[in-house]
Amino acid sequence: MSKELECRARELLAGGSVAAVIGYAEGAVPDAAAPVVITAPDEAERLVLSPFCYNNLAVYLTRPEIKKLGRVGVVAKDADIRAIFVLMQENQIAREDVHIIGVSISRLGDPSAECRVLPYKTHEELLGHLVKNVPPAELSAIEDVAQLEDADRTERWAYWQNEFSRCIRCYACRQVCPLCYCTSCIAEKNRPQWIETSAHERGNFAWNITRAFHLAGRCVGCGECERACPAGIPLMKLNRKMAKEVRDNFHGYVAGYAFEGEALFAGHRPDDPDDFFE
Amino acid sequence: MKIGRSNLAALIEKLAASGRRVVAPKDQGSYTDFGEIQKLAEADLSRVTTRMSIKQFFFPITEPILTFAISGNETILEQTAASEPQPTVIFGSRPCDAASLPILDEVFAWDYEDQFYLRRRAVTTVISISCTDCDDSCFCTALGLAPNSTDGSDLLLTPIADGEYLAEPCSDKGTRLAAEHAELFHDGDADKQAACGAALDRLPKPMDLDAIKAWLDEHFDDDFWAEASFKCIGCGACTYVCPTCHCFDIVDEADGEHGVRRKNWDSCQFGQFTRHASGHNPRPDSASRWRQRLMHKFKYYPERFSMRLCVGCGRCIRACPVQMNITEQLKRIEDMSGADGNAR
Amino acid sequence: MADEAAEFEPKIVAFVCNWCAYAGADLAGTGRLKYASNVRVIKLPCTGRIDFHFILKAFERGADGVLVAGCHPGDCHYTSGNSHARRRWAIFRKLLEFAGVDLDRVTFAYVSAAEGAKWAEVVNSVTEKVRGLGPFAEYHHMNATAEGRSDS
Repeated sequence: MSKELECRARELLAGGSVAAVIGYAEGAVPDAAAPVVITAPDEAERLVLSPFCYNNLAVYLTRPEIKKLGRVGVVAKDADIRAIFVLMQENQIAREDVHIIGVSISRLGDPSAECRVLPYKTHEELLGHLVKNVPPAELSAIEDVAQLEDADRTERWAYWQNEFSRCIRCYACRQVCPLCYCTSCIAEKNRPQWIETSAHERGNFAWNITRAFHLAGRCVGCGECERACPAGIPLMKLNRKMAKEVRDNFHGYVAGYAFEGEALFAGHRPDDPDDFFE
Repeated sequence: MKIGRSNLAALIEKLAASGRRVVAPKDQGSYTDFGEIQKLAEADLSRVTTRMSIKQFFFPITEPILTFAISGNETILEQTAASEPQPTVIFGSRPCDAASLPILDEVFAWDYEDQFYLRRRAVTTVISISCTDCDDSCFCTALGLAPNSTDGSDLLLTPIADGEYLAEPCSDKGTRLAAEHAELFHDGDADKQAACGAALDRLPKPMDLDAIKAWLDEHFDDDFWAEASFKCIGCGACTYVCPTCHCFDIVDEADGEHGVRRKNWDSCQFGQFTRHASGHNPRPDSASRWRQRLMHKFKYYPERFSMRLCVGCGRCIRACPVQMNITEQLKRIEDMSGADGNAR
Repeated sequence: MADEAAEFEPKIVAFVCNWCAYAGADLAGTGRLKYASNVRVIKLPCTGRIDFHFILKAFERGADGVLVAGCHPGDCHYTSGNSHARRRWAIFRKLLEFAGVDLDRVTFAYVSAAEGAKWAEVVNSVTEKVRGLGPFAEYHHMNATAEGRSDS
């Protein structure tokens, strides 16, 4: 499977259709692959495809150093492809500036998982593949969200206070996320300071609530934030809750199934829910 | 001298009952982290090391250093409880953790004596446990340390046979502690190296740190930095889990009439860390920031204080979401320095 | 025997839009309508300008309840500011609820420039609702720790 990936990358680079390919290479520790950028066809043999290709490489597409290169290729799993589509929808990258090498990994982290390079070359083909094989309905596996939803309000408060108490404000969650691409995050602004930088309960509450809401309707569920968190905070619970509410309130909207058209919070409809208004 | 496990349990209970806070690694599921214990049984000493280091007990992640209030034309300042830190016993730290303390002492007692750090140092006792095993991220030996080093510990326990520990007081504080509880210790000696044999076999051999520094001295502008740092995403995980990283930010959190001044951890890996008030940022990309990390740890700090700003605990390697691996990078630099000196 | 504690007076912060809700509040004033004085009003050009951080900041500054009031759909002075806001609030309030905040502390209302009576009624009902809930203890606790008024 890595051979196919190597060929595809080599072809793209040799043909000059991309200036670089962002993919995965052998990591330094066992059972790990790490991001790499290659610019020469001969480097293509460094690329690997394994069940340990965790990182969402779309995060590199908005980097100034990468954008400067022009058109790039990027190895992308299902969720990563959707992240790229959201970036296009939000005008952060132009559709012609990226060639997506779609890959499918049946189960991340499972050494026996099946990994293959997808045969699709265009964005439209990839979108068709996602709609058919990774349909939105399947993304709502949210039993643990339901468990919290059904709990008492005070239990929920205590739960999140406990989880957020371990937050060290390292911003790994933000930095791994392809959709957190603001060159100056609101957490970095201090005139005025909307989010306190201190890692006390109040600052941590404000930060984690902010990120969850800023990702609502945009998060593609790759799970990198939760995996990157050194404190083991179940960030995906927040993201899945937001995805569920967005889906239920806005006609089944799920992020990443379109690379054109209006982003969710860029628009509005006359029939948007407002039963909560007095 | 030695101490048996049940006496060690008794020691912990006595310390906890003596008005001191005792902290030790506790199970958090997929990792352990320091938390308060009353009994030895509450500690989880089974993992290679904790996720966070012990620096939080000397240099908390957020610390109020004073409060202020405006009353008429006056500003009233008040010291906070940081000036009276709670006596603490750190139990179960690793030799690498403990070794970070003499390193941090240098900067916190340098041209300005940081009382917030120093007072905590004065009232804290460190009881470390030698490593009988390690993982692939550990590299203390590469830096000339060892899984049974005494640096920075007040008392070092090395697990030997039959649930016993070799007990070595390594400081006046440690000697006093052992004397105060002399009835719990007994005479005897053991082979420390043999006890830590499994770890020693697996740990890497020493690196040529002088050669690495010589390369760093001459290669501030080198293509290596951009290539080596590409995958870095610019979070602060490595700096925050690191026992020796110590950058901090002073912030005022106020609402117009009263507020708190706080000392918070900061990270040179954050994109805005070096942003000037003018808007100019001398470290605008991951290359310059990653270079800063390696330079500070293996060139600038040694030049200033004759000690490296790293203890080889491997936390940064474990915590990094994209596997920036400091040992891998140091090895590459070592190779480049050896291959053709400074001519690369 | 100690007296009963004075009745709890909730602190309510109201974010209102200039063209509708604020004008409605003004009309309540000129009409000399009596209503609870627990509300501190913050005027903005449009509810579309209201960032959810304003709500969090109100709680950080000691508010027990927050009211957001703006134009009815279709009446926005800026055409669609209130529609953008409405879409955001539908989701943000679910996040607050999920995090354990009692949603009775956060109220959204349509108040037009002609609805002086409605303004008074909404303020009264929000005040009584929040009075019944008591002080926002959970947030006040976070505030105390952050402000060095209690041990973390």
